[in-house]
Amino acid sequence: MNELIPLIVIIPIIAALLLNLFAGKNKIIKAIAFIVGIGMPILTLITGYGLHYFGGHQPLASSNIAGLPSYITNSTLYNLHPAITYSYTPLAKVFIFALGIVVFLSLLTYLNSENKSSGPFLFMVFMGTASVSALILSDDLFNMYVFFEIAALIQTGIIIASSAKDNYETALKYMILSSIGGPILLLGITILLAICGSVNITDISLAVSTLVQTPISRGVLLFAFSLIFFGWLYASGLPPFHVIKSSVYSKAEPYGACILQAMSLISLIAFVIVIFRIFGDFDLFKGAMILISIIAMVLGVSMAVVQTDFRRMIAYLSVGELGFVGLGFGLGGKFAITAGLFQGVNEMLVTTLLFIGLGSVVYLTNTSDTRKLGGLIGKNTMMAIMILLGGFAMAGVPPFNGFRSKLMIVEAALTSGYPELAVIIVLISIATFIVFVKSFYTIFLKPQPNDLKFVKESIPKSMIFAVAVLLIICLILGLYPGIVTNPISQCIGGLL
Amino acid sequence: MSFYDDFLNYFKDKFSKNQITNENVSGSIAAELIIISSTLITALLLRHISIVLTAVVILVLLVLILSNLPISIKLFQEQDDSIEKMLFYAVVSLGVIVSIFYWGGL
Amino acid sequence: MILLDMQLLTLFTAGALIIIGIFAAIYIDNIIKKIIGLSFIEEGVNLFIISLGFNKGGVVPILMPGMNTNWFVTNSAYPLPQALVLTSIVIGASTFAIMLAIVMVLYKKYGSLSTREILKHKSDMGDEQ
Repeated sequence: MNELIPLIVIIPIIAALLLNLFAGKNKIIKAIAFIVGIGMPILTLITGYGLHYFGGHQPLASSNIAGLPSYITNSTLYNLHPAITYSYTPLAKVFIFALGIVVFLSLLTYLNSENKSSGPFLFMVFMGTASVSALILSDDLFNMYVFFEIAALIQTGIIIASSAKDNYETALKYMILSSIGGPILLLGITILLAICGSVNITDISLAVSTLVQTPISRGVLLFAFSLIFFGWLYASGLPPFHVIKSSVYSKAEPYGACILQAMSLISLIAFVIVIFRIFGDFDLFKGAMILISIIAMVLGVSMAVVQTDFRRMIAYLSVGELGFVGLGFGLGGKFAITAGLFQGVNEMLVTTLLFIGLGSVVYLTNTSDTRKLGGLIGKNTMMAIMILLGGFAMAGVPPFNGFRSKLMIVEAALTSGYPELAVIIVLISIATFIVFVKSFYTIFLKPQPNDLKFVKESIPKSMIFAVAVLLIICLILGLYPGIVTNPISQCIGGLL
Repeated sequence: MSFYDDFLNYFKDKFSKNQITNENVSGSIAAELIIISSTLITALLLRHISIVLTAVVILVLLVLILSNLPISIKLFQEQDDSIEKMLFYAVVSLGVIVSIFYWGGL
Repeated sequence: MILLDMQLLTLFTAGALIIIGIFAAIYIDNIIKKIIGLSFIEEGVNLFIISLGFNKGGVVPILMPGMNTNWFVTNSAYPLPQALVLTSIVIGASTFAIMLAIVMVLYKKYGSLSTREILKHKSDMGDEQ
């Protein structure tokens, strides 16, 4: 059922517009958000794989028109993609399904923990979902840029909608940085358009493989590569943008923060696949990926250890974990890339678990400063244990999914002859474990300070439900990693 | 425990206005060890290019690390939420990336 | 009198705009001026996109009946950049509208337009909340 492919993007947009229309009518908003939240993961499951050409403009080669003159069939025009193309692959299915779960669970906690639901906030959630789904579906660089800029605006909106201190300042800082990162990315895309004559990624990668042989166009391509690489760093929040990204996550409400991190993770995946398809043959690609991933991991974890605000701590950890995804691409090969992408899925789910789980602490006490907290295990023991297990999943403790994917990356590093990388991965995992033990102790086990005031008496059931569901998914993926790795490796096999 | 005391004093110097707990100091020391060890291990990756270069780089790194010891705190101060620093690092890394990619790949 | 190629001049202008914009983003303190500087980067890129479609002595890229196809292919302007630049301009406009709206809120809060005043650095290790 290829006709359903554009609906993956269109339905969230329509839901977003409807929610904005019914702003103020609490029950209708809740109903729409709930239905679309459930409907999106189901839609990704029933949609068939394939390509969708907007406007039906297929490339001439696949439309089988008889009797075309030879000066057309012999030219590059014959294979050019004239329409915006969406390609729905097993990889896109895995990521959009995971995004659907994240969005559904965070909406569930939002709708249950707030008395009055805000139409604009839900608008931004659905618009963001639509834009990142389009990012991973699209086979058109300019289309990706447009949806990427929409996603950046949505992220700003989600920060503004939160009630954290200094959220406007953080939003402005993010926008100032985004107005450097965004145009630079566009400049890179435009240079590719100038030299290849198309913005379709398949066309570009075909053109680049021949253009790279002439020295002049090689220089131009390298320039475009560097600009797009910089844009990718900004899109995914890798260094030097890790500070603003973690600041953005920590200023949003917990249910907003999980959507924000899922959005940046999917932008990372979407753009890294594009960079890999276009520039994967360049010698620089692997080195640059490995270097930036190591910097991200080390800076993310070392900054997380010294944080006293636990929201900021998870934010830095989630930025650091992105390094593993890049490392998979840096090592190259089907197995390593599959491992990196599997780690991406795991990170998205586990970070959501931690944001929602530790969000319950913010819900109870209205503070996220670990020095003011303590003894919360008495409040809800089950939640505390689930958060600890979530932390284990992130640090890579068996039998959770984090262990599987990190083990796969270690294996890939060893087989490609980089044992140093394996050592660094293990080191970073141990550091992540330290961060969790430290913060778990300070939040839950340390004696409760006398001046700790509780704003709410108990945690809503929906938060416990969301965390439990995510923990079960983590466990299932840890025991049966094939559910995710098989479709991903099948898709990566097609790219290589 | 003189390293710990040095560290604590440095820490108090930098953040005297705020309350400091044991966790802050131990966290900073952990960060310090992570940064030093992973920097040195990353430098080992250069052995794929040249072994002599690796030795030189590791020696230089050791000198650099020993001469600026509380690295985690210095890094921490470089990575605060100030927009000037973030813009500066963004533009510097844009320049570095463009020059390395362009001249490195030709 | 030497007339430089129009496209080359446009490309130089675009590069100059981008560099001026990055310079302004780093050095100018007034937040409104900083945002104007940032818009220079966006405009520089837009100018770059438009200049791609330029074809010296070219014709409008509409194939009329009776035109020689081969002549048309070599002489028409490239039509894609103009379509792309419109989208890019709209995105830029909405981004800057939101930025200026946030600046309005912050001006009401702090009574100042200086970046150092309104976005002043706050240490994480302490005075959060």
